[in-house]
Amino acid sequence: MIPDSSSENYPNLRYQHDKVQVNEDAPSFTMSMNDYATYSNLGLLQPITPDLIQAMAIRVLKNEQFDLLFDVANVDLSIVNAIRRIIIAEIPTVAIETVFMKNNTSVMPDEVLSHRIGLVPLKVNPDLLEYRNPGDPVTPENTLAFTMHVQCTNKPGVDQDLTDKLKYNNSHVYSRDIKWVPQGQQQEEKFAHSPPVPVHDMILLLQMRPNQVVSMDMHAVKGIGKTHAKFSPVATASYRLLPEINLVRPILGRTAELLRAACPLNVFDIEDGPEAKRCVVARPRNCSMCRECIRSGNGSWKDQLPEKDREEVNKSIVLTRAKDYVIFSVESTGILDSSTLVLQAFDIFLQKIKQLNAALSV
Amino acid sequence: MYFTCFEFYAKLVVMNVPGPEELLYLPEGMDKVTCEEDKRVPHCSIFTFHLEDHTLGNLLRMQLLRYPKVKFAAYQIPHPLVNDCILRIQTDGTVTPKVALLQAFDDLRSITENLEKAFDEGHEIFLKRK
Ligand code: SF4
Repeated sequence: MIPDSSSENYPNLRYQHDKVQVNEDAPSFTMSMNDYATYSNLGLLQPITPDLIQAMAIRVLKNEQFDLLFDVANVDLSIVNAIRRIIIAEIPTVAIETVFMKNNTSVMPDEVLSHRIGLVPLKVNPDLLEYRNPGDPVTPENTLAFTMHVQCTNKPGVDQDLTDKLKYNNSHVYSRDIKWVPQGQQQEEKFAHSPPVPVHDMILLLQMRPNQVVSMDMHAVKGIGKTHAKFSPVATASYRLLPEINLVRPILGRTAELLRAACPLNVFDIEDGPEAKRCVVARPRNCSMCRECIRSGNGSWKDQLPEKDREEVNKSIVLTRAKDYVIFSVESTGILDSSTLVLQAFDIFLQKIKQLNAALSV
Repeated sequence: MYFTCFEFYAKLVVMNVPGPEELLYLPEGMDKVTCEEDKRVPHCSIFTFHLEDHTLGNLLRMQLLRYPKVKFAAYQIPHPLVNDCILRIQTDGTVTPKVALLQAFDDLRSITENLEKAFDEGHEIFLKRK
């Protein structure tokens, strides 16, 4: 499959369609097609058929509240990217939108503190709250109220050489100090089984010295990441193409040892071969495409090889990435489970398509 | 009476930045999609999707380029502060651009439905293996 760079038909069209080749200076074959004719003679580009749809597959590798990792095979990258963008920007969550500062004698300016508070992820099921549109009245159905009142004081009779935390009360203000104030019976019942709290208790908001006070009320509303990043339900959602390290010719003996040691991410292993020790690609997924293994020039690992071997080695290692296989990772902020986010993204995607389809059909 | 600082919120003055609502709600009486024929080139239409961005633009473009009957498809975001996505489609004349676009929506829908299924299956297999 991977053509030797010295062979005649390199680089053929099929290869250009399937792979991004990572070279020492820059990657090649990164472009997608310009129109149907680009790859049509290979039969590669076709309107969607049931076969193509059948070939799509997802393999989940890790599924935790804060971390989801899965592989997507045989799906066009534009679709994967749309899913990623929807996860980041279009899934609703609840975040603090307005801060009513009653007192702030700390060194942190009101607006900086307000901004920090806005970014604190709140464990609230967004389905339980309605959107508050501009001009709408503030009601218990569309707004959650929070309050925070913290005053720093001296601890009487402690050694002044101790650290701040031991010397003072409340010298550090954490997200756990943000307290929910239920607005009326109904709201209290609605959120009874999971009262709104920050996802993490120990997010440091600010530090204070004795006699400083912060006191405020806050309103949280529902929104989406498109309007403000604080509504984004993920820390990151990203994907990368599957890295492939192709040893076109075997790498043996001392060269193999050097190559194994050169890779910073420990991708290679040494195996006993028939004649000599042989380099094998053991953990291709670790590869970050740093290109250290194909780098030549000052200070590279190839410096330690005899001149005549370098040419040989240059031809033997080919780095590629598969264009039809991506590794997708979602890191939730904890408001919703990572896998829930992906499923919601599919739903929002479908809704969008249906809505546009309807709008266009009239 | 429930909420504190009611009147204060009402008086809140905002700067002249576009508000979040401009990203969320279509202005009264505006269509989600408008279609306009490009008279300079045969079989060419320009679609404007309001309140859409690269998420949709790139998606439709790549899908449309798969069709043999589509000669040209490209999208554009006219300005970062304008929440429009403009898609230009030219066909070979056997179908209209609108039909091609509807076909793209159809295909995208079946792909996504299948992908959702694939995710569920993948998830189940993962749980079983654990
Ligand atoms: S590109 Fe970097 S991480 Fe990947 S195999 Fe080469 S040296 Fe290792």
